[in-house]
Parts: sequence; structure tokens; C-alpha cells
Amino acid sequence: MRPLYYLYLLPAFVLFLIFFIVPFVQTFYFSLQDWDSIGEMTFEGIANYVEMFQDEVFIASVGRVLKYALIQVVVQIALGLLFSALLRGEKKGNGFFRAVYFLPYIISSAAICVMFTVMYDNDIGLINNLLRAAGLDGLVHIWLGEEATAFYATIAVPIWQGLGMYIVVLLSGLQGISEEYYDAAKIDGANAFQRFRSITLPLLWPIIQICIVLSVSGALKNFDYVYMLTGGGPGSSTHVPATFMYDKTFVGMRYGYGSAVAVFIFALGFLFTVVFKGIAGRKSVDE
Amino acid sequence: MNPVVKRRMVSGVKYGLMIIYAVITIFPFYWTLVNSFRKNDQIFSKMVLWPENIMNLENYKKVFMQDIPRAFKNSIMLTAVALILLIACTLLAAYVLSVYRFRFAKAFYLTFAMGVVIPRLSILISTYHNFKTFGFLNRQFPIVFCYATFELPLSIFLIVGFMQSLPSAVLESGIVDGCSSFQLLTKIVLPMSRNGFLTVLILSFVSIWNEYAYSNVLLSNRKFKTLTIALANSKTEYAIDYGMLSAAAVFAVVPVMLVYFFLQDKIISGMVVGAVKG
Amino acid sequence: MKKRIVSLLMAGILSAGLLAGCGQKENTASSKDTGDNKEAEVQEDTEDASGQEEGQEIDRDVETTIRFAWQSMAGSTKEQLLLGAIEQLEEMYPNVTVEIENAEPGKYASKISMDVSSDNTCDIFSFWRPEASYGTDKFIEAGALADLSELLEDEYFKGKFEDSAISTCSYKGTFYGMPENYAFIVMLANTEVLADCGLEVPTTWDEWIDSMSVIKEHGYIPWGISTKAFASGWERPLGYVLDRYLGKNGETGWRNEDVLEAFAGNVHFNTPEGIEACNKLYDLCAGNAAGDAMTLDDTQATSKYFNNGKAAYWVNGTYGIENIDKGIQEKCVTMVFPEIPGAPYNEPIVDKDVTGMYYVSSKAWADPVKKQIIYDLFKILYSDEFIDGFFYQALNLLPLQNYELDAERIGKIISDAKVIADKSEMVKWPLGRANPENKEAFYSVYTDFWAGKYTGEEFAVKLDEIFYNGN
Repeated sequence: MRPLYYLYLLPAFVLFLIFFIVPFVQTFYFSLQDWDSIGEMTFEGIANYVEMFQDEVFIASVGRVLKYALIQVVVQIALGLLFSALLRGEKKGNGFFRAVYFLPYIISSAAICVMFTVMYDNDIGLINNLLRAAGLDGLVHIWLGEEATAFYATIAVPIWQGLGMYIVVLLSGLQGISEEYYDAAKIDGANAFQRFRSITLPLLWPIIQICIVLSVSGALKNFDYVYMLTGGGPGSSTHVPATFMYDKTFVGMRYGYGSAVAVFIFALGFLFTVVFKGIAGRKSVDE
Repeated sequence: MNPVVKRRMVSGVKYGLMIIYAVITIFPFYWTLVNSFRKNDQIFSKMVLWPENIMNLENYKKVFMQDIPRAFKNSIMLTAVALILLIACTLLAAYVLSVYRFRFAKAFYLTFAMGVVIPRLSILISTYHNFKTFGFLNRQFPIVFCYATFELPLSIFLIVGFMQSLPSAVLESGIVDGCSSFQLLTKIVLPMSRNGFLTVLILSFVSIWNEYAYSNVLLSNRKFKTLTIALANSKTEYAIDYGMLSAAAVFAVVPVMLVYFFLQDKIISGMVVGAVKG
Repeated sequence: MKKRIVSLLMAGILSAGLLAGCGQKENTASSKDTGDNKEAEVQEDTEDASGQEEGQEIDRDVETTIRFAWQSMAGSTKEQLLLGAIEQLEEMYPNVTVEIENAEPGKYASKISMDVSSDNTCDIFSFWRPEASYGTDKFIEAGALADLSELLEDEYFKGKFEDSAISTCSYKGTFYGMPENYAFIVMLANTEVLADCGLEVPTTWDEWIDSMSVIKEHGYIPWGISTKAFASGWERPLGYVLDRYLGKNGETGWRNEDVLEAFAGNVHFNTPEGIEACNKLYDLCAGNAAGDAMTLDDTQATSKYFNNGKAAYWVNGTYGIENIDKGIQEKCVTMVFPEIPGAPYNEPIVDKDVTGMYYVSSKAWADPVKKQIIYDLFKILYSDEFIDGFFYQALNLLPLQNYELDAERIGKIISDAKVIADKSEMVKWPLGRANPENKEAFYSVYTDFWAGKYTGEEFAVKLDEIFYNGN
């Protein structure tokens, strides 16, 4: 094995080591301490982890982020497939629609959250005004203020923002599938659903896999949106592990405890990736 | 029913759906634009579809006082440098990981890939301490190391996937011709991977340009602020001017939108092909 | 062709690395600083100590950088004044560059704490009081902040500040920060709204409570304020009411020492007095803010409800006045917090205190060059010209001894409120000694309390659960 190969790896690996791995190991080290970042550190072993798993707010946040990841991946992939199929079918104005749908993705989350804070407003917000105009007053809510709706209103924002990217990616995948397959299937008498299942799905599967990984890992790491829209409230009904970590670390000044949460978030993502690769690996594309 | 008419109706419904979603997508931006011409009290008194006084440019004046042009320049410089660093590292690493087999190749690949799941915020404080040790604090450029590193996992993941799907016949012919590994990279693999790199470029650009948490802390000096931070800072402790924030949001969005609409075709087709292969 | 790509690539990596590692033109000031400052320090060390008092001996050719941080003020008048002061300083000292560092509200505290944590404290920065609630006590304990007592002896500053302010700016008896902002609580009533409900401005507790339902019946909102976590106005009624039931335990401490200690976790909330206080608070607050007040911050709530003439009452510190529409201000009068029938302590009180201070890092203060420069900066900031600017252009008050506030220039609201404040005894912000970690849980419960979800007694019990150290 030529050592030259390692030379190629060197720049990336050195960068990664110094700015990712080492800080992460340090964070892991902090997670075993009781530390407020200014004063002395006291070694606590796994005490932070024990406390974490007994903290109701934390447990709730984990359940919530899993729910969020599930909703996000289902909505983004399903709607992504839907709209990309629509776009594929109707060629007119394709470029325009593609451009428009992709637009939210390139905008910074900060700007998006400002927009939505005002859009969700009870009195002057777009959503409620539309509902009232349509006579659906019963559906009017204080979206970010009521415990029942706050979480869903909050996750709707990143889901909306990311959707455009998946539409574009899936569309490209669809366009890579030759029409011949579909024509042949139609001649064989397959209906739309059967065509989808036997042609589209298997051929698109590699791309869908990537989209799933991106979508889920994005949800598990999500911090910006929840933090900027609700800060974890009302109460703690919108907390996800990442915002919980931020609060404990930077507001509560408990760096040790916050680091433990960070390690947990990593472990969660790691677990997902391993499990997913295991399941996805079994599906063969050559069918 | 006449099949042609039926097709037209279905088509109509489909277009209807697409248009509705397009409106849903565009409306928040439009509305923010409208609000950028209004004052706080106006914004919170009622919802309108057109500003009360479109000549009210107060908010934009205030935004300009936030040193936006310099922030814009900072963003461009930092993003460009970070992207150069990123592409250079990714190119070399992904090439050798996808084309060659050697000991620990798999291990290296997995290590990089795992980076996707680490929450960046969790290593902020360690990074800050390390920066102090390296003497990187209170300076403008060292943060690009962080920017590049954060995009490394996904970039390597995508490019490796992309390169692995290149037809092996072409690669083999290159080896048969007696290319060294470097020649193989530059003569054959690199040109064919252009599209994959475009994908990575777009995704990373968006991510770095909009980066907030680290830029906020490591670039707190007024002179160093990026556009994203300068705009986020347009609030005070007791008074948030939503009119000005809307104007700031417009500022943040318009340049990116212009670039996007001009290069739109190239960007999306590049991204698309890259993702397909990846 | 190959060579070109190779060289391009190499150039790419190298330049990226170089640029990142070495910094660019922009940085010559600060990168020079680390080198040159050491020179200056060494020079000063070998000179005699007279350099510390006079300043005339300082070598003005040495490049020096001062890092000055404050929370983003989005170009407000106050920020303009600070920038003006810095300009004057830089004219005085052509060799000095002031690097300004900002972070937005909400993130500023963590920026400063990260700086302190990495021994990278700014030379001078503005921050909140040296209270446990803000974490400043930790900075001081770690030795990061300079003892500024000698400034109080200096002829320029001697006797300039009120004693209470000096006390607030001190930690364990040592003076650490120069007062930057001084505020007191202002309560406003919109007379037009009240008149429309057939009411006069309430002067007694019962009138006030009775007005709540009348106001609601007429379709108005009693309190046009925010009930969102970390907002500023909604805490005031809590302070006012609790202060009348929990008093001073013993002879030392503040008038509302027990309240402070309750939030610090050393005194129970669910005592008979505490519960009674919470019951009174319930009458005052529960259900009396707007339905969506928990999603709006102070600015939004003021804009949406008070400035649009939909609400009757408003409360916050003087720093919140700038948000109130001028037209509405004309219709308002300042309210005195009435005595609560049956409460043990009914003397007039108000939370009037320094809210922001300028701290100096111990490193900078130990450096004679920087110390002199910072001293001169302070002289500029507290010069007559700037004091005038802070007071009347930025509406930023300062706790100056024997200062005659020009009522005309400061505006009716603040001058009326000051009259009330002057007659009232000073109390401290209730949460000053609270553990920062408990604040979030507290705000969550307090939001629900305003929404009417807890009775007074339940609220008192909840407070005890959250704060009391035995739990």
C-alpha cells in the first residue's frame, strides 16, 4: 500500500482532527465534569448523564425531536416526490417553478424566522387572516403561544424551507429515468401506483436514501429554528435536545451538563445512521 | 368523458397545486418586503398587502447605518476562502477514498462521515479555548478553518459517492496508460467530477454564508462581522424594530436571490446531476 | 495543463492556509498589538511608578489596541454617543485604535462569558450588575475584572455618583464598574382608554383591581405588556406585590431582603405572607394581559397593544419609554403603585437602580498604558457634554449626585416618574440573586400564571418548588 494515499488524506484529516475531533473529545471530557466555564472543574464521572436521563424536560425533548425527524422526513420526501412528479409531468413553466421552490433554501434561517414570527401572529399574521377570510375562525390559534400548536408551528418552518431542495433533487432523479420504462409498463397495463412502485421507487432509491439521511440528521441537529421562534417555550413544550443543550450551557452556565447533552445528540445521530445503513443496505437496486 | 378534456382537467388541477405552492413559497418574502416600508406600530396594528407609505425608507437608512456593505464584503471573502480550502481538501481525500483500496480507508471514510451527526454547537466552547491557545482569537480569518471543517463530512460523503459511480472503464484505461495517481486525478477524475463539485459548492456556500453561531462569537469585532451577523444584530435589548428587521431581511435576501436567478439554470442542473450520481 | 492544475491546487491550499493562519491587512492593528503591547509593558515596567499617576510620561508612539464591547444597539442614539466618545479618544491618542465588539441581545452574555473563560476578556465592556443572576460574580471571583476603587478617589470622579449606585456597582464591598445606565420603574395609565370605560385613573388598590374587569368588558386589554420569558415589564408587578409582604429580615440588607433571599432559595415562598401576596398578584395580573402576550416580546406588545390604544396600563423601566408612541404618551399619566390593604409593608418603594455598567479587565488595568487610556475614556464619557447627550438625546439616565433633571427636555413621563421614584425607597430587582438555571423554569410558570392557570396559592407553591434550595 503506497503511503502516497495517506498524503492525499492528510489535509482533510488534519483539518478534521484539529477542528472537529479534538474539540469533540474535549467536550466529552467536559461532560464528565461539573463546570461553569469560569471557575474550577470538578470531576463528576457520569453524574451529568444520570441527571440528564432523569430530567423530564430532557426526556420530553428527545421524544419531540424523534417525532420531528419522522414528520420532517415523511413530509419532505412525500411532498418532494409529489411536486417533482407534478413538475415532471407538466413541462410548461418548469424552470420558473423549480426556481421558486428552491428559493427558501438559500435564505438564512434568521431571516426566515423573522418572517414567520410575524406571519404567525394572532392578529396581523397571514395565517390567521387567511383562516378568518375563509370563514374558518375555529381554526384560528395563537400558533406559537399555545402548547398544543407551538411545536408543530415551529417545525413547519424548517420543513417548509427545506422542501424546495428535495423537490429539485428528486425531480432530477425522475428526469434521469427514461420514459421507455413507463411506456412499457403502461402497455403492460400497469396503473400509476404500480408504475411508481416497480419503476420509480427502485430506480430513485439511492437518491431517496440520501434525502432521508439529510432530512433526519437535519432534524436531530436542529437548533436555529426552535431557538429563534420560541426559545423552547411556551413552558418547555417546544424544546428539542439542541435548544435544551444551549440553555443549560449558555444560560444556566452548566457546561458539564450541556456537554453531556451534546454527546447524547451525537450518539442519537450515530445510532440512526448505523441502523439506517443496516436496513437500507439490504435493499437491492438491481431488482 | 372525452379523454382530451379529462387530461386537460387533470392538468389544470396539477397546475393549480403547483401555483398554490409557489404562492405559499413566495408570499413570506413579499410580505417581509411590504413590512420593510412600515414602522413597528403599523406592522402590529393590522395586516396589509401594500405598505401604507411606500416612500418610507427609514428602515433602509437604518440598515445601511449597520455597515452592511462592509459586512457583505466580509461574508464574500470568508466564504470564498473557506470554499477553496474545503474543495481542495475534499478533492484529494474523496479521490483516494473512492478510487483506491488501502488499509484503514474504510476507517477514514467512516470517521469523516460520522461528522455529519455531531452538533456543531457542542464543540463551540472547546473551539473557543483552542483558538485562544493557537492565538486565533480577535482575528478575522481563522474562522474559515471551522467553516471548512463543518462542511467536510457531507462534502466527502457526496463526492465519494459521486466518484464511485464513475465508469471504471475510463479509470482503468487511465491506469493502463501509465498515469500516476495524481495524473489520474487531474486528467480524468477531476473533469468528470465537475458536477459533483458544483453540488458540494452550492450546499456548502449556503451553509457557510448563513452560518451564525460561530460567526457571532468569533467575529464579534465590528470590522469582521459577516452579513448574517450584522443583520441579526439589528436589535437592541429593549426595542426590536421589526420594520428595520424586515428591511434587513430584504437586504440579506436580495443579493443572494439576484445571484440565484441569474445562475439558476446552471446551479440547479449542476446540483441535480451531482446528486443523481452521488 | 496538468502543471497548471497542480499549481492552482497548491496555490489554493496554500493561500487558504496562509490567509487563515496569518490574518490579512485588516488585522495589522490587532496583530501588531500582541507584539507591541508587550514592548510597551516592558518599557513601562522599567520606568518609575510616576507613569501610573500622571500619564504625561506615556510613550505616545506605541501602537495600542483597546477592545471595547457592548451589546448591539442597532445604531441607536446611545450607540452614536459611544462612537463619538471613542472618536474623541482616538483624536487624543493617535496611536490608539479602539476595536469595537458587539453581540446581539441574548447572545452577548455568552460572548462575554466565553471571553472570560478563555482569558480573553475585553479591555473594557459593558455588562449588567455584579449579581449572581447575571453570572458577573463568577467573573469577579475568577479575577478577571479590575478593582476600580481608585477611580472613586480621583478628583474627577470623587462624589460624582450617588452612594446607592456605588453600592450597586460593588461586589463584596469593592467597586468594580462605572455606572452606565440608571433606570427606575414607570407605570402608565392611558387616560383616554380609561375614560372610554367610564373610569378615572385608579389611586387605590381596590379601584385598580375593579377596573380590570370593567376594562375587559369594554373590549380593551388591561395590561398592554408582554408575558414572554425574559421580558422586562411583567416582572415589575411581581416585585411590587411581593415587596409589600416579604420585608427586611433583621436590620441589615435591603428593604426587600426577604424577596431577594426567596429567589436565592433561602426563604420559603409558600408562607402565609407569600401566599397572600400571590393571591393579590393574581387579582392584579391573571387573565389581564392580551391572549397572545406570551408570544410577543416587550417591543411587540407595546407596539401592538399599548401604542394602538388598545390597552389601559403599561409598566417597565425607563429604558422602555422610547418604545412608546409619542402620541400615546400625551394621553398617559404616571401611576403610583397603591398601598395594598392588609399588607405588612406599605411604604412607597420602587426598583430604581443602575442597570448597566462599564467593567475593565484586570489585565488592562494592570497595564499602565491601557489604564491611562481607559481613564481618559471615562473622563470623556462622564464629561458634561456626554452626560447631557446620554440624558436628553438617548434618554439614558445616570445616577449622578445632586443632578438637576431638566423636566422640559427629558419629557413629562420620565420627569413625573422620577418625582414618584424620588419619594420612594429603593428596592432591588427580585431575581438578582437567583441561580440562572432556575430562571427558565420560573418564567415558564410565570407565563402560565398570567394566563390564569394557577391560583395565587398554587403559584406560591410552584415558586417554592423551583427556587428553594432544600428541594
